[in-house]
Amino acid sequence: MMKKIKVYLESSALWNLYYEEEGATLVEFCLDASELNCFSSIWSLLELHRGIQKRQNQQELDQAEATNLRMFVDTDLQLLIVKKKLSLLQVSEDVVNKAKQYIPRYNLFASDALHLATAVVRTSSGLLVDDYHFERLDASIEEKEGLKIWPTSLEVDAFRAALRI
Amino acid sequence: MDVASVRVTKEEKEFIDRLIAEGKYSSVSEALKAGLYELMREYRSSNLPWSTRAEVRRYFAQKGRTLKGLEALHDEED
Repeated sequence: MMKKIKVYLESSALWNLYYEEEGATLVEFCLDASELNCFSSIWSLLELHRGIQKRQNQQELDQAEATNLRMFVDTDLQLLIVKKKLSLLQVSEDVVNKAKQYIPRYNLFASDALHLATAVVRTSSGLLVDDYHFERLDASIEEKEGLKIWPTSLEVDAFRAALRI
Repeated sequence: MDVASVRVTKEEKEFIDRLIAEGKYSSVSEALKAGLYELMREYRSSNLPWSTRAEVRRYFAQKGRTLKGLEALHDEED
């Protein structure tokens, strides 16, 4: 069996699936591509739920919309997992230890460090992130950690060319 | 985790085994749970205004945005 390319979907990329028009195309492509093995941290679930709550606090969503969206996201992710289109990895001690190193090295926030560490520990080829998140991540991560960083706004053809798939 | 037994026909069992052999699922349990989650989604969807991710995105695209992506989450940390 051909070895699949591991792609880490940062929480902002998963968010694109449900709330952002831009970026959804590439994330959907990754989930459906047989050449790719998509995964994320189980921590992403909390970030998605917090993203919904934040919008409810800002009155961007009313209570019914927030409840419906939470329910949809949870059910949809369960289906993606059981269909093997996505894996959610545990926050293990080795991941946390690696993340601790990344906070001072790249001046990352805790969540960004956790995502980066999970991707590195699980030998991902790269991270798929929303552009706004991308701007926060130090460009040297690619050089030092050997991890590509792809913005979700990237065209599918350009992404395929980059991965040679 | 609870355990439930399911009776299936020979053809159904062969079908499940084929899905496992093709690598789509790693066990009979996983294959049957895929169907269960589909039913759960269908059940929940009957009470939800959307059935696909594209519908969800279209619905929320029409709403005004106060935040961009998940970025604002981090502003709370500093």
